[in-house]
Amino acid sequence: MDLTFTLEKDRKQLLAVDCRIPAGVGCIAIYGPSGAGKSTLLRCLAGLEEDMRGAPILWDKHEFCGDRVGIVFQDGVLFPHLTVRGNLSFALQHTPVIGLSHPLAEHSMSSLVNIFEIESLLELPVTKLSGGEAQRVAIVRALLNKPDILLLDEAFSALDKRLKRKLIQFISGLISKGLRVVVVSHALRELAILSDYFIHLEHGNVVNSGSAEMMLPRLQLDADTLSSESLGEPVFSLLAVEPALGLSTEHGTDPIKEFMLGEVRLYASSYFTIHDEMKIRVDANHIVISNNAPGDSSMLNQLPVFIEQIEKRTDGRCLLHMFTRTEAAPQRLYAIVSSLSIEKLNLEAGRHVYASFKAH
Amino acid sequence: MDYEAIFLTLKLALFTSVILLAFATPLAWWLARWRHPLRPLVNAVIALPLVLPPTVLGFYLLVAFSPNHWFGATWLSTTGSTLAFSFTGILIGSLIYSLPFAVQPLYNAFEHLDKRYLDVAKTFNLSRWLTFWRVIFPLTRSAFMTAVGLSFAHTLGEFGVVLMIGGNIPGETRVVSIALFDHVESLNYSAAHQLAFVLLVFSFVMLAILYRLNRKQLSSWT
Repeated sequence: MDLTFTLEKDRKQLLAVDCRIPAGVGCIAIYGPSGAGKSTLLRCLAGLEEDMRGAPILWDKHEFCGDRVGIVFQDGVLFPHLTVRGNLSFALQHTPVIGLSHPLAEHSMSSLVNIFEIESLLELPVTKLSGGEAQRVAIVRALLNKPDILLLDEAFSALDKRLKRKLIQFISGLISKGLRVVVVSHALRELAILSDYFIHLEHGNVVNSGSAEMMLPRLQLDADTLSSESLGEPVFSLLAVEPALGLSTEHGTDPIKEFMLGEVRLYASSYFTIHDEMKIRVDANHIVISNNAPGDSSMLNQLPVFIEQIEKRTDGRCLLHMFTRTEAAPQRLYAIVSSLSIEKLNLEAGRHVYASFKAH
Repeated sequence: MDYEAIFLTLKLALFTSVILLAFATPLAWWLARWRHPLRPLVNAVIALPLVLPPTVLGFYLLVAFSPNHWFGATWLSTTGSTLAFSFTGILIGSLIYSLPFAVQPLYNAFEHLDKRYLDVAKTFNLSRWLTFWRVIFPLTRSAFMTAVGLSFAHTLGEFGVVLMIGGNIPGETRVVSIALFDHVESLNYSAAHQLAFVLLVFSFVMLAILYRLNRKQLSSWT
């Protein structure tokens, strides 16, 4: 699908977007510093800006069933003259008739209220809600209207860790059922879990865009030049794994889970289910590289990898672009190591090495 | 007691505020959304009655109502009667005189209305009419109350414009303020006292109710 349009106001160009997004993308992430035009882009996609030249076409109708859009803002934008229940009922009253194949067909108001844990808030005026509560109600309100495309503008920013994880997983499940999502966020983790495609905006222009795999390592590099409130999170990789037999093995008080990546056994305390795939997160800073299999080590995860490229960063350290070497299909893995280590270990593109790491 | 004058004043105030509301709402909405260099000029024209001596407005209206003027002539040929010294005449004067009192509260409210509420309504595929009734009106209800209250109260106290274009015809143009003036001129102070007191109490009660309702609404949202 082509996303090509410009937005002008008072003879000033606010936004110029030109992206070719491959078919099959379920969730698009928009990121960039404050004032880059992320929210404006979202408004354009929702059809809320009238001064556009060229219509942005998100997800052709032949690829997906409809073009009904739901939007969730960072502060909820709940109607202050209604209670929480009033806001939800408002959305319900204007819900269209949807087919059984719709990703939200099975979710009634009570099931969404349950999942988003807002039962106790239903009779409250929305002015009494905290930021996180308002965000949850706003997402439920948008979902109740059964959108085909959901636009999320920093919609999880005020949620606590547990709820954020739970609800992002839930939205991820909806994406795998066919809901299309565009998400604006400063939190790289949220974007990485949900999105297949990234658009990097700055000053109203697309600086870079591409698949998640291609764009993830760039995010940290970009973050060096962005403002501090931006993407100050480490680079990480998400490895698709299979559950090992006896998935949850309790080791004392530490609930370590076991997974398989090809023939290699991996250990992690948590995992994500992203579009029906089980993934574990590996921070690039937590990877130790060795030329030979490390043998006995407290780092239980040891993966044979292949170095594709060594990229020098502005801080003097290097980003290794690697691929796993197991019986399973190769997967990207990133590591950040010092230039000294590169020199001492004589690392170069094309080398076979071992990556040891602690997974979360 | 001049019940006839009181009744006529209430009728004039009611007609003025209701007609103004219907007229000022779309005008204020359009003005709040209109981005054009001429906007301050239009705003100034609407606000003019706030600073203009009522006699100036009354004078120009009297000229326009005259059968020698195209407006007065057209009116006379269409309706068979003149506007000067008639209830319709003072109603038109009243509408123009109170226009800023209805437009400005609505204009301010629409200008400050968070556009994103309308965005949400749009994603719900709400029609313009439903968006107005279910989103815009409830969110700006206090401005509507202020607009109606102020234009009603302002009409109650109208004197100069009515005197210029309406004169003092009982049952037709003799509103309370004119009757009061008449009583004072004829040194009938007790009747003047009665009317002045009624006007004072009525205006005070109305404004108090207005402020009370507005405060209630504001505090429920903050």
